[in-house]
Amino acid sequence: MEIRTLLKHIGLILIAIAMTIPFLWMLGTSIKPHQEVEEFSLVPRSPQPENYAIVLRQKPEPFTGKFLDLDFPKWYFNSIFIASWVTVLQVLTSSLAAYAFARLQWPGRDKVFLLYLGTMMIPGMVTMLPNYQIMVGLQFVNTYQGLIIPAAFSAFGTFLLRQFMLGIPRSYDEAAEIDGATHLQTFLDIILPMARPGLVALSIFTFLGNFQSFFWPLVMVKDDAMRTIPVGLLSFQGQYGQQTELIMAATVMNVVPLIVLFVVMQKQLISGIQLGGVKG
Amino acid sequence: MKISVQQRNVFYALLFLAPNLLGFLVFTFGPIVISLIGSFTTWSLRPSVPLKFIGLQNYSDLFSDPNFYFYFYNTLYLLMGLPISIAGALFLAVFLSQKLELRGPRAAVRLSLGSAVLTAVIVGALFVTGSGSLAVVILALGVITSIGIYFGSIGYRTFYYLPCFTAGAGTILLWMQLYNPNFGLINQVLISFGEFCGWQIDPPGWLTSTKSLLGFLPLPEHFNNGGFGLGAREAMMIMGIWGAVGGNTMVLYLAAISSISPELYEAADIDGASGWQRFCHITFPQLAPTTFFIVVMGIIGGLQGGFEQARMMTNGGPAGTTTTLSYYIYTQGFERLDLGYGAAVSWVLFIIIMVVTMINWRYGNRANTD
Amino acid sequence: MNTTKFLAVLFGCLLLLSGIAAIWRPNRDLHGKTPLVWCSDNNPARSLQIAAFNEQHPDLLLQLDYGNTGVQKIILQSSSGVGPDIFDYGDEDMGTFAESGVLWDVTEAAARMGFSAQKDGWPSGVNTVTYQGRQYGFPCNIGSSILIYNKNVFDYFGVPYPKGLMTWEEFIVLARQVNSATNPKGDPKRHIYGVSGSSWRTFFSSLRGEYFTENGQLNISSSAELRTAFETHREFIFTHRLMPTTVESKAMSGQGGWGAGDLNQFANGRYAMVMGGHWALISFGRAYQQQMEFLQSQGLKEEDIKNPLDRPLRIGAVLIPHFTNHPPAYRVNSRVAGINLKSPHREEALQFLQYLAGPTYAKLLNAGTDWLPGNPQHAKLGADPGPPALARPELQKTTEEAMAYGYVPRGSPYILSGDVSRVLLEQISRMESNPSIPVEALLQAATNDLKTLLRRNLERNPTLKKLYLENFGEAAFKNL
Repeated sequence: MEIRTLLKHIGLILIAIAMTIPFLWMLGTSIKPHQEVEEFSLVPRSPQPENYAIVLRQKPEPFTGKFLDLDFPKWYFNSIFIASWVTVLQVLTSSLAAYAFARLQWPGRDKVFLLYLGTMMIPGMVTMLPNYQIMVGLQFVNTYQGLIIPAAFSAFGTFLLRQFMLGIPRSYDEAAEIDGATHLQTFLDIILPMARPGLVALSIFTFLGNFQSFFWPLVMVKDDAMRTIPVGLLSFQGQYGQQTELIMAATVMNVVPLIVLFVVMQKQLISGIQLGGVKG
Repeated sequence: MKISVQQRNVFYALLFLAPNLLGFLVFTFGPIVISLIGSFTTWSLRPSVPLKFIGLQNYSDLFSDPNFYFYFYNTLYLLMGLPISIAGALFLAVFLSQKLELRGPRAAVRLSLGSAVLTAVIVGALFVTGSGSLAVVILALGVITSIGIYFGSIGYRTFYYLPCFTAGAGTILLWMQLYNPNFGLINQVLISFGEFCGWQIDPPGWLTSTKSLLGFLPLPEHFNNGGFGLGAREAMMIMGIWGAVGGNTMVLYLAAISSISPELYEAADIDGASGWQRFCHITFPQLAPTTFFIVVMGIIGGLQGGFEQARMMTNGGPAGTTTTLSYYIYTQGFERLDLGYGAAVSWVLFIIIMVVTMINWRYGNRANTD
Repeated sequence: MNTTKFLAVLFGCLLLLSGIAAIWRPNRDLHGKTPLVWCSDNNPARSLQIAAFNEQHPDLLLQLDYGNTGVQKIILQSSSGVGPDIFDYGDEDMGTFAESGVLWDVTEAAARMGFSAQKDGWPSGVNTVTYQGRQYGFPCNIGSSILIYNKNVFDYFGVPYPKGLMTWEEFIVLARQVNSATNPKGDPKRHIYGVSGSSWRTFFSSLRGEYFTENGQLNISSSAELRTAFETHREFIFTHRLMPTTVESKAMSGQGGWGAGDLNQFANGRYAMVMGGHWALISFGRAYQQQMEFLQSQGLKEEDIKNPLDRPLRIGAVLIPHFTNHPPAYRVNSRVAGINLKSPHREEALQFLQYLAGPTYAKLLNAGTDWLPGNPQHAKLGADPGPPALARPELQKTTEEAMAYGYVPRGSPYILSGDVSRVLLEQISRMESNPSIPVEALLQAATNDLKTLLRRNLERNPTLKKLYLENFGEAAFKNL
């Protein structure tokens, strides 16, 4: 039994290395001076950890002697702020809708659901323009609302949570009904906790997806102060071409809290079914 | 006045649906209808083109353009990596859900510590001898081992999810370097490996090559000679699999597996089932709704994909082999400012996706709804 | 925790964040001046150029925005009224911008205020700022490509430097001598290509090729110039192996910027020669500085270095070759600054264009080693000779010579030059992947694609269609 577990570990470790090596390259490049970026080495010959300070505007760039004009900390805040709002709103509205699709019977239910599904099949690019015009009309361009509200509704989230809710045994619902609970109470106190792995998974996807979303903020945002990180990374076009080393430093700083968040959320992925519920 | 159960249900349904539905109508459905109407007109970003209804002309134009079929082929081609990604993610999720502890926590700590010390020694030695890159790799190996053994599943999961964290400009730049035909890591490893085994390997051209595993390009005459090999499309597929295998699919499966009632497994153990039998008869069937979701989303996403990579890595080349339909929509709509035409292509893509999903739905959904 | 309580806490945190967001706003103090936003690239000289402008115009505040560039983005934002007041574009994109209605026609203002393309600009560059006879901006910089050679590479191969104007045949002979693939003297670990930056466009311009006839018809499959250009391109890559394919060169250096990837490679001795504009000095200057600093840190002098390839950069320049029996011809390129039609401050923005044609800007531009200023009268102001190894005066002089032979290919009202470019690039891409494809087949495929686009343009635009029918008749239209 011991050997088998050890072997499993070895296998997992090898796969992990394959996943990690590219990230190592990113780490290495983030402390390279500009002229070494194109060398295909993992480790710089003359490391320049000041790249991080440069991105955070604590130190000037080595060649112009000027500080970066870009407000990376503000972008960071923007990305987190927007992603948080979007995640909470999306999970809420999607779970409400998923309940309606998974637990309630009403005429036309499946057809409407197919409609939802259908809208995911339209390439997003083409709806971007009408959406943009709507934003212009509402004067939401270059504002937080413009970045949050359109992203707060998702057919994807609805679909995902519906599938999760379908997997919850009906016995719980019936027990609650016998106890005289309303739909809202059933939803809040039974289904949501049971569907926690699904909710957590959706939160992770939504948060990360929105954090990395590129096209919509690119179009919507005009001022540097409103940028999110993916759009901002584009602007690391220095006088010598793309400052890849700064982009990498920014990306690494980007990723570390996400990793922390991810690890913390992992515990929540374990289902509520195993932690309680109706027995027998 | 008595409200029928039916009506009560509808009321509640609307209540629950309301916030989502509102946003859906304004931001999703509305623009979609607009784009549908737009595809029948001369909708364009050029003010010199008057907005006129032209019926099916956009559609007939696109169906008579041979490039369209080529790009459609490219889009389908990229889907070939989907089953591999899903199978890989499932495999990893199952693996990670099993018990990974070694004979009590003390052993785990000892092993972690041991590997950490060993790593430090090796790294120190390598740094002294000057091979920085190798030292870093060994260091990473040591870190992974320590974390994996101590933290178990959670540790490994985080490593597998790394590609998803770093998605975007960083990853794409990274892979462009890796795929460099002369100096990139991948080809260098292949060449070294070949030398080690005594073979003369001709490294694949990756992003510079129009070769593919299927060996041909569906183009007229002179242009159809792609040749057999590993070219740009394979490069994109591999990049896609790398990014997807430890990513959202795996997380979803992990969540779903944790929801499977342990009583089912206990019953199987009593009957003396082997690991493989447990997988086939309990795990996989229980994961059916999740798998269905993943496959449907995978196809929907896959058919719409390839845009970012095409734009940043290859500009749709070489010779148009990495132009997927979504990239085509972008060039037509935004570079040529011909939005009506772009919308028409989008809608044709939509119909394709819908047909495929419908087929999926009929087979998959039967197991799901109440 | 109870679900409801959890939700309450969650929303509480979000509101807190929102509070922070509301407070954390940048300080935008205009001091009562009219703001002008200039969307351009992050060229090192920009801040000086902007400061000088603001000094001359105390009632205006010009600011640089280098994060919002990109043809699509500018068009999108401008057509919705949130675009920049002034923005830069390459002259090839002018058709796209003018057609999308985001450029302001400044022809009268230009004549009035002294930045008219005909009177105050370079004669060979007039068509870089005009579209169908109207002027839409003024160049930030303008120039023609020249041939820059790396003296270190020539020393390494023991080949004398190029002198004066060559023919392409002579050039090939010379280039083969400084090319690792055709000169066995080269070090296999340090592959050197003969030339970078020469492509079908160079050869096409060299023959003064035109994509359109005088009345706007396509001239692709019947164009002998285009055929020669494609064939020479293929020859350079596959017969003489003087340069990598487009994809290979992109893979050699992932970096973007002003072709900085290839230029960096040139500065590091990977290419013997490069055909480009002398704005490349921006990259070369930096590379040179780094190389000198590296030497100093090692305590070495230039003369101590044995291998010429390890020496700091030394360059020279001559005119790009010409075809025998053809006079030299070079395409004039320019980066044009245009005014947003919908800008609320467009009248004030005119003063900026006027500034671009003035002496102050020209001096700053020349000091910054960018390309030539739009106004030839000030072309020599403020040119700082720089380190002798970089031969700045030679590069500048050669560029001015090239401008005398410069031309701008004409456009057509019926189809955008950008479309022609894109379609031809696709064919080149095909050719580079499969050199056995006959050039006629490629040109024919290009013509077919372009005819489809042309027909689509005509069908969507009734005024255009009328014009076309008037000029070419029904039969030609049916033929598309």
